[in-house]
Amino acid sequence: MASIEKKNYFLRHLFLILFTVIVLFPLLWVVLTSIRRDNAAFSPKMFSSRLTMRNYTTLLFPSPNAPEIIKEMNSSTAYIGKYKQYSTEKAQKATTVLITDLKNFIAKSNTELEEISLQYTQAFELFDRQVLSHILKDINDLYHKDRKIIEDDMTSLDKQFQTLGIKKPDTSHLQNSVNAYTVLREQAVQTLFSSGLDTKSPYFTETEKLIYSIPVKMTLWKIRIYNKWLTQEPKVQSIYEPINALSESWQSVESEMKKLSEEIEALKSENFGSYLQELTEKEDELTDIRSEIAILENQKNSLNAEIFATQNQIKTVSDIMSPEEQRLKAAYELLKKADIALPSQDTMMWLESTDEQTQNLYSVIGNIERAIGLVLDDISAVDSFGDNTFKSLLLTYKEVYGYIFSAFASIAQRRDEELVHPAFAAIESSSMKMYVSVSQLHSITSSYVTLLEKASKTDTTLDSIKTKETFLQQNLELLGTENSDKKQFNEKITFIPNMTVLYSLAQQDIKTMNQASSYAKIIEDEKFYPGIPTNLKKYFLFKFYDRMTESVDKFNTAKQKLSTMFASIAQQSDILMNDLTSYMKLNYGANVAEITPVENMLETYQSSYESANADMARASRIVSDLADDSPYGEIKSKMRTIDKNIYTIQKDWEKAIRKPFLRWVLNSVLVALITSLLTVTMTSVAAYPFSRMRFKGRNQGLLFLMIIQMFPAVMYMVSMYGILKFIGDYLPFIGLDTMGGLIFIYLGGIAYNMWLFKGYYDTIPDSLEESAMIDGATRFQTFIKIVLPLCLPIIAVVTILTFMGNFNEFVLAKIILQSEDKFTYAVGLQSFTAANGPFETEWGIFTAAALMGAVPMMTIFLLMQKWIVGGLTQGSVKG
Amino acid sequence: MNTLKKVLIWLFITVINVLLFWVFFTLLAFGNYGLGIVVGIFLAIADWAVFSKKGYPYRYTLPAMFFLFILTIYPMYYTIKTAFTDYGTGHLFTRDQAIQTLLTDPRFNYEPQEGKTLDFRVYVRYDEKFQPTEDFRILLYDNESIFVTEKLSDIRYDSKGNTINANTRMYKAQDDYINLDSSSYRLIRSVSETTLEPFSARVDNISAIEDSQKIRYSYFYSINDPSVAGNSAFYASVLRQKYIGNLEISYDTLRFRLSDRNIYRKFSETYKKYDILVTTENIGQRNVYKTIVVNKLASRNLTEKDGAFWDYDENGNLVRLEGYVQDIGTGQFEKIFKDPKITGPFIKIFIWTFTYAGLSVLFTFAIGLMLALALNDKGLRGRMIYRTLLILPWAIPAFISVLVWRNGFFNETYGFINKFVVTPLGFEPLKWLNDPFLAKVAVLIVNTWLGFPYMMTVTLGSLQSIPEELYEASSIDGASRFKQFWKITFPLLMVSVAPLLVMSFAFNFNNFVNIYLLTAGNPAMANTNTYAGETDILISYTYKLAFEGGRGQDFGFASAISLIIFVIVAGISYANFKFTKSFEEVSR
Repeated sequence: MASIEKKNYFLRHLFLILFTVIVLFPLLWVVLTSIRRDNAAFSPKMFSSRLTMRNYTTLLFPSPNAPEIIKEMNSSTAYIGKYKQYSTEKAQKATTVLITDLKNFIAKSNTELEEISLQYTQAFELFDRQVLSHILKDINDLYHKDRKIIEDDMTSLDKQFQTLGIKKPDTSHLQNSVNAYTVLREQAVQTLFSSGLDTKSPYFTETEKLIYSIPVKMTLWKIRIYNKWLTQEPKVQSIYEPINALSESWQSVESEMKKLSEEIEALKSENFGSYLQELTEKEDELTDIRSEIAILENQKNSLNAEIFATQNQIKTVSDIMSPEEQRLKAAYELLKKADIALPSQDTMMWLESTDEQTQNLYSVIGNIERAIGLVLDDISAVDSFGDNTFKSLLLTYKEVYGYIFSAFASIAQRRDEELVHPAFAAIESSSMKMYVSVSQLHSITSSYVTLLEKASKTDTTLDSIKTKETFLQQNLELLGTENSDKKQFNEKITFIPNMTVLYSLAQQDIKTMNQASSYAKIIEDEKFYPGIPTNLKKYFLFKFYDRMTESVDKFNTAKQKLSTMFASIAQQSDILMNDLTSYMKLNYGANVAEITPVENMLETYQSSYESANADMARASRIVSDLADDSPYGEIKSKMRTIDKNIYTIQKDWEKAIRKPFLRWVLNSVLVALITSLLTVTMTSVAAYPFSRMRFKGRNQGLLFLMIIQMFPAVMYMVSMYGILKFIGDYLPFIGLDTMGGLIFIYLGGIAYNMWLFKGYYDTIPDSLEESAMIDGATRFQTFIKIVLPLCLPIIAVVTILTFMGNFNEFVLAKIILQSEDKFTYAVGLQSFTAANGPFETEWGIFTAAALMGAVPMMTIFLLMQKWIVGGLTQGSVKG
Repeated sequence: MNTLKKVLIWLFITVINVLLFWVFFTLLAFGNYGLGIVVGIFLAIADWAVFSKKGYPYRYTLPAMFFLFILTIYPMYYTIKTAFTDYGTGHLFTRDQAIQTLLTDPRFNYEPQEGKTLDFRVYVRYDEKFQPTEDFRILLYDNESIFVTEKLSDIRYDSKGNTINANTRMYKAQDDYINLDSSSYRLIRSVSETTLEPFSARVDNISAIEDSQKIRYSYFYSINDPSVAGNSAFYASVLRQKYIGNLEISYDTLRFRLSDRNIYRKFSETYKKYDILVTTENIGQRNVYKTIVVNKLASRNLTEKDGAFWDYDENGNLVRLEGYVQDIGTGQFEKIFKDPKITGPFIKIFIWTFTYAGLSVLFTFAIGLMLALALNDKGLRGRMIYRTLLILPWAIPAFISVLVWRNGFFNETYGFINKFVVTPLGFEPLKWLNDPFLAKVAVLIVNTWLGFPYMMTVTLGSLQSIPEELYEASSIDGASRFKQFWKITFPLLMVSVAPLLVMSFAFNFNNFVNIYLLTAGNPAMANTNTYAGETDILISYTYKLAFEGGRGQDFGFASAISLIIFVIVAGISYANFKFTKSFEEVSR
């Protein structure tokens, strides 16, 4: 029985622990994110080991960093912002303080830069002294593992050759030439090290890496390194010959590899000829079809773009034509009313002899009429054209112009008549206006139609080709699955030369970090032999030294940039300091002058900090990765220190956006405190008669209080807003966007507290007051002197609960408060999370701010638990 | 001592009475009858309580009653009243205020085509530190004459302290002397040459204006003069902002203002377009006086429709000028039930509100009950630790937790869930906040997380109050554990917990913070012309209608929905009272 009970508990514990962990995970996340140094939003790591309290200090002790000081200087010298009312002396004093601060920042950052440089140097010394031997041993272990993989691959290949009954191609020639290469490589390295060249020089490192890498890129080395190095160090000549020999030897290795490859290809075609042929043919065909598809797709896209452009052109012309439609129609109606007969021979004669302008118009109208006819022909070939308003527009035009053109001579002759005159004038002006665009319309629509035809043709071709592609692909896949063994074997034996080279090279251990890095590069970048699996961290140790070097390089670049920037800013601040009085006077009064040194400082900062910061970020990123993954303790802590110091510089100089967090907290505390004190004072007094006296409306009053406390204040939001808007016009201190207004609104939430007090008064016996009243005290005196002191606990409880409730209130505060410096904590915290805002991804600051609000409230809650839960189970809920 | 006390008390009562009377009458005078009547009733009750023996108990409650009246009863009245108006963007002011705007707003000025335009220069008095003051004179000129303004008069401000209007007069200069009604000005020139051509050159050398008390106004600013461009900041941000922008200068019958047709570079003749007229209308047997607005230019009355003043523009189109609040009866409610673009989303929101509240209660109660059953065993070690840890989600202010969930967990690009749970499992990142269904899931997840500790706590409390003997007796009778739970635990639990579940439902029905801070009601609903979102509940919908500026504020509609919520919550509460009683009878 007992054992069953125990087992039962175990499951229960398991469940509870699991549940608790899941439920509390968000809290854990908040805590850990608030002390991360990197940006959690962008980091691929769930948690980080780089910790900082900086988020808290920025929120709690906001002091301007360097760029903010420069901005502040801009304000103080221009008498804007809080310096508006300053006298010259005062502003000067303030600016002097700012300059000193800025210089302190510069001095501090300079020291830190030096400090970091020193740490880098120490780190490298440490590496050489303590880490190198360990790391080489570890690297060789990994190296041997790789060799083992190749060895296994070779053995399994041998077996397969045997089972298939094929003779394995001879690799001994290749092995020999690789061995010769290895000997030359050793010689080259020895020459390099004994040449007396500076081993710290980057040329040296590069040369060593070149020697160890395959293929040996001699020409590149000559141009990039040797020639440049030679101008500095004549001794370099001594290593040219060995490296050249090495390069030649590598070429012979390559030719051996080629020979072997050919041999293998022959082997393949001999044994798997038909299969391979089919495969290649199909593959080739597929490639062809794919390129054809690509071309067609391209064509289709460009056709579509052209069609779109043409449509736009047509639209433009139609935009010119549509407004004239009404005018022409009206003219047409008028003309028809005028009852104009078709021109007779005489009229035509008259037309020929009349003035040039009219004749000109006649030809214009003729052209328009013809053009519209052609356009209509074009368009009728197209199924639908937009919503067909354009077509109907054209039809109207055709009708109108058809008539006008045929009857033109008669119209022109009678143009001075009362009815005809306005119509003729309208036709004249409209026609002249549209002439150019309409005459172009035909060429546009005809090309449009051609384009559409082309597009549909392309579509059909594309469809048929795509069907072919799918068919071929299926075919190919089928071929692959049917012969998967053959396929694999074929692929594998292609790499026999590469395997052989790598295996022969791997007979010798890795001796230097540069060799290690070259090896990692051969496997990772060159994909020399795909049989060796690579993943992100596998060659981490091989590249350890490389990355350290990269980090220090980046840092040095950043340091260079920063030092220049610091120097220039310091110089400008000196200039400002020296001529401060003059500058201040220049800017005093209503005049706005440019203070050049400050402008220069701002500009220097803006133009140079970002790039320096990018370098620093890279350096610190590498260093922190090394620290995280390094198995060697001493260097780990060194890397961490460097990372931390770079972070300090970054924080001192980065562009910062500040939120008045402390102000928000203060606002919240003030509002909540004042409200709770006022509420408690009012309700403690008001609840008394409900407990002790019987009067008309008592029960109804209690019921009323019970009912209204069920309607949350949120529901009154429109009216609360309206009331404050109204009151604010007359009493500005309790209007919208004021703390007074918020306190005023919060005072409405008294109903619940009345019940709490009433309930507590009910538990205090009446006899105490009665005896006091017999002694001559008034009712009010007994209340103040006897009941209230007995009620201190409940007074404290209600005060704290109301405080909590108001501190946590969000909606009304959000509605009423609008300016950032009046926000309460709740509204302010929300502004951290605004989508696309500057803080959306600044989780460090956000979580720190959230936690600083949450922890005190959580503590109060846990302490007051009894009262909160008690109140709730008594049947009164208050959110 | 006692007399002093009495005097003080009476003094206090008098002061309060006078103050409230003043407030009462002022409110009535401003036309805010609702608040006025509430204050009046309170005043009556207060005086009765103070002066009548019978009213003694009420004296204690007076301060609390005051705030209850203004912040609970009046808002109810206000909400009901607003629900029957079109109060909102475009209808923000009373009719009188709208008329005032038509009469004073510079938008409704007109500058006659052939009106006079004048260039101007500003002259400012410097203080002893040679700082410019806000005391200034304006010198205006055309090609013939020079004018100088006198001191500003009749400056009027709005509630935020911005100037709405200022007036002054200007006088013509004769031989560099200007005679005002009471004093005189003299123009001081740097070069005493008054015959230069063109005329403006004669103005350029006026370096100061001096009045008869020898107060000197020095040349400070002119828009055409690059040599004083350095002063433009003070001119623009102080002088123009505070005074010149809203200044009307009169000269005989002419009125000049800073001309917007000339991009504020000149003063030009400007007049009001509208004026008011009182007409009588014959309604039944009596004449009713009504204020109407007339367009002075076209001498026609403005049209009034849809709660706004309308006028014809130069193309003969009717243009809306200024709206005002008007009663529209049940118009807002009709909108909810008849306008298909509103009815659809409203019904969706309505259903989701109930679903959301219901599912929240269900999930929180299910989890809470499960945990309570697990923890309700005195033999379980560390149950206080579990209980304290599990109560934490309740202890943290809800708005903080919701913001953390939103930003850190549900963010689609950076959020924890997508980055460390969904993507590593090989799925596409989930659109937590942009997919209608997933957004609802997210809202429910967070609300369950927030709410289960409460359910756990109350259930645990009730479980502990179920007497042990019942279980002992039933196990003697051979009841299984399962049967015990369904026949004893659950019914007894429901007696005390059911009312709390109903209350929790009512609470979640209005759980604005969770919805608003997590999704803000988004994603937006399709096919609607209000600001409705897929996860909006009624109260957040109300908030958006009233306060999110995106598509204008609609206080009237928001109030109408508030009223509906009132009715529903009242119904739930009423039902709950009834239930509680019946449950008590059962348990007795």
